[in-house]
Amino acid sequence: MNLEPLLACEMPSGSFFANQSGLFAKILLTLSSANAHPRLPRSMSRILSVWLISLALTALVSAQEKSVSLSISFDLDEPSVLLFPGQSATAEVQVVAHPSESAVWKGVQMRFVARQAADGNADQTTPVNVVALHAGSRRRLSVSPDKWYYANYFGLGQHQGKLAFEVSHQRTSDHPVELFAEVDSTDAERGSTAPFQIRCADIQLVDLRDLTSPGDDDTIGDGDTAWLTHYQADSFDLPIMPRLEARIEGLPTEYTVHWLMQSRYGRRGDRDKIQFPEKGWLDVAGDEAWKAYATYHERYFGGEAKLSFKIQDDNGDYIHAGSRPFQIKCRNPRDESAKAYIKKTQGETFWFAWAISQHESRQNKRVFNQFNSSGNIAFEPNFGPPDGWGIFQIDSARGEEVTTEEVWDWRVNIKAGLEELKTAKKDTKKYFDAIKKTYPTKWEAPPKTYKPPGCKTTLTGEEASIMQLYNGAAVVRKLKNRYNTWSYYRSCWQFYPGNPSGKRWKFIKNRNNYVYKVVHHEIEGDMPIEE
Amino acid sequence: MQIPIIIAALFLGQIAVASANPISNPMRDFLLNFDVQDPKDVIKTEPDLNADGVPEILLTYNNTVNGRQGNIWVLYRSLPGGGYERIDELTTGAPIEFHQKASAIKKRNGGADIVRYSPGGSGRGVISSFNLGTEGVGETVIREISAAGSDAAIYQSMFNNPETKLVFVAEDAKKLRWKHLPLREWLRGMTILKWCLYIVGLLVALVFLLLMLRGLLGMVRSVKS
Repeated sequence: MNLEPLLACEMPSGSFFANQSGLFAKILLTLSSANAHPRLPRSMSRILSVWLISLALTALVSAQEKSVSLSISFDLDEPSVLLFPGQSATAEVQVVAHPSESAVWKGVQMRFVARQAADGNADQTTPVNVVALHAGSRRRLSVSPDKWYYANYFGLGQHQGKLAFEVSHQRTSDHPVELFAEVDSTDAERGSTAPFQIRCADIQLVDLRDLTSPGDDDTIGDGDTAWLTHYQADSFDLPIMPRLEARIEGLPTEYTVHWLMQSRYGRRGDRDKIQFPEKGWLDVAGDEAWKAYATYHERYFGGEAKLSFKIQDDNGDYIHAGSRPFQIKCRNPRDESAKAYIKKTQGETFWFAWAISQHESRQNKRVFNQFNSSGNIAFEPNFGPPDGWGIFQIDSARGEEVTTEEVWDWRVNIKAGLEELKTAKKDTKKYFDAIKKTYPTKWEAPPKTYKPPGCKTTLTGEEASIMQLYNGAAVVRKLKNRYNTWSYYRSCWQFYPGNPSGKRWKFIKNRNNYVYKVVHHEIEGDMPIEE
Repeated sequence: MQIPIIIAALFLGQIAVASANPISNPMRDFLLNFDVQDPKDVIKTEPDLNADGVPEILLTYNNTVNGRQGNIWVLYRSLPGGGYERIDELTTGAPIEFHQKASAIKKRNGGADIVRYSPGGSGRGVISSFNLGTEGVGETVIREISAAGSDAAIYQSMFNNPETKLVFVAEDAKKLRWKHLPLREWLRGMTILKWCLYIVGLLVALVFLLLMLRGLLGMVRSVKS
C-alpha cells in the first residue's frame, strides 16, 4: 500500500494530524511493511492498517475543514455617522470565505452587533434597527442584532458577497453606538469588522417653567403646547412666557448648532410674526443648551411656533437641519387678580374702567378674558368682531393696528384701554368747549350727574360721556373749528339751544345702550360671573 | 399787511364757491371743509350706491373715528348732471359711521346699501344698513347678533366675503393737501417766527436791490459824463 501521497499532504499547522503525523507515518509504514510484528496475524495487521488509514483520512479532511478562513469588512464613506430619529444610514458589508467550496459556505453565519457605552455598564446592548437588503432579490430583511444568520439568508453568493444594509436607532443615551458585524463558521476563527460609530442625536425642547423647581420641566414634543402662564407677585397674577430651552442631545462639543425660533398667529395674518434672534441664527456649541427664553425676555407672543436648527461639523459643513413645530397657548389671569390690577392702574378718574373691561371681554359667564376660556379656539386671544382683541377689546378702529403685545400681554392691553379712556375724556371736554363757542349766549353747564334708567348707580355727566365714547358716541356734532372749517365732536350729551334753561342737555343712548349695560350688568352685577 | 388779507379773501372765496355749486372735486372739498389734527391718511371707498354707473365717494381720515364703531365718513353722491353732492350725516342727524373691517355692499333693486356691524362689547353687536335715497342716507337696524359666538357664521358670510367687501384706499393726507390746497397748506405751516424771517428777508432783498439800482445809475451817469 503506497501511503506516500498521504504523507506528502501539507497539514495545516496546529492540527491534531500535523502534530502526530510522524508517529502515524511510522505506525503505518511498520504495519504495511513485511517487517510487521511477527506475533500479529496478517489479517489483523491489515485490518489495523485500514482502520489507521481511515482514521488518518478522517483527520486530514477534518484538518482541511478547519483551514477555512473568513473575512468581513464594512464599506463606508465615513467611520462615523450622526443620526436623528427617523433617519437611517446605509452601508455595505463584504464577507469572503476561503476556500470556496459551497459546502463550506453553507456553514458560514453572520450577525450584527451594537454596543453602547453607558454609565456603569460598558457593554449594554442598545436598541438599533438593522434592515438588510437581500443581495439577490433586494427584498428588505429585518435583522435582529446579536442573532446569527446563515449567509444564504442574505443571498450572499457562493463564497463571498456584499450585503447592503440600513441602520436606524432609538435614542437611549448621549453615548455613541458602535455597530460591527461578525462572521463565523463551526470550524473557523470568527471574523469581525471594525466598528461603525453611530451618534444618536435628537432635538430636545423643554419648558423649564419655575427655574427654582428643576423637577417641573415640561418636554415639548412635535405639535405639543407650551403655556403662557402666571406667577403671583405683589398679590397680582403676572404673565410669564414659557421658559424654553433647546439642545441637541448626543452631539459632541466640536459641532456647532445654529438656532432660530419663529412664531406666527394665523388669525392675525402676519401681524404677530416674530422671530428670535431677530436676524440670522444664534450659534451654540454642540453640547450646549440654547436658553431661548433669554432672547425673548419680557416679550409676549404666541400661536404656531417653530424651533429650527442647523448643525455644522468642525469642517464647516452643514450635516443636518431640522425643526420642532409646537404651539404657544395662554391662560387667563384669575378674575380677582385682573380686576385688582385694573383697579390699581385705572386711577380715580376712570374708577369704572374695570367694568368696561369686564363687559368688553365677557364670554357668557366668564369675564376678564384676554384669551378664550373655552370653545374650539380655547386659550387663544379673545377676538370680538370687527377687530377687538383682549381684555379691553382694543380695536384698530382707533386708527392704529392692534400690536402683538396688546394681543398677548393683558397688562399692555389694559394700558391701551386706559389710553382710550383718556382720549374719550379729552373728546368730552372738546365737545363741551365747542358747544360753548358755538352757542355763547345759550350755553349752560352740562348735567353734573346722570343715573341710567333702571340703575342705582349715579355717574357724573363726564363719566357717562367717557363710558359711552369708549364704545361709540351717540351724539356726533359737526361744528366749526379754529380754522373756520368743520370738525367732528363726540358726546352722549345732545345740546338743545332752543330749550328753556336747565333743559338744554339730554342724554342720548347709543345704538348698543352701552352705558346702561356697563352700569347695570357689570357695576351692579346683574350679569352672572363664573371663574 | 395787504398780503394776508388777500390770501384770507381767496381762502374764504374757495369755501363759498365749493358750497354753492355741485362739487367737481370731492377730495378737494373734503380737505377744504373737514379738518382734523395730525391725520396720517385720507381713506377712500367708491361703491356705486345709486346704480347710476358713477360710483359714490366716501371719505374719512384715519383718525376721524367714533370709538369702536369705526370711521366717520363723508359721502359724495354722484349727480345726474355731473358733479357731486356732499352728505355728511344721516337723515336722523347721526354720523355716517362704519368700521372698515365690518362693512359690506348689499345690492338691492335700484342700487346698493352699505351693511355694517356695530360692536357692543361681550362679542355682541348690531347689524344695520345705510340706504341712500333721494332725501339722504337713512339707517335701518337689521338685528343684534352674537358675532363672536353663535352667530359667527352670519358675521363671516356678511363681512368676510371678498365679493361684497368694500375696498378701501389710503392716501397720504399731507401730500393730498399740498396737491389740492397748496396755498392753505403753505399758510398752515407758517408760524410767527417764519413770518418774521420772511419779512426781514424781503426787506434785506429790497435794500440790496435798491443799492444795486443806485450803483447801476451811477455807472450810467459816469459813462454819459
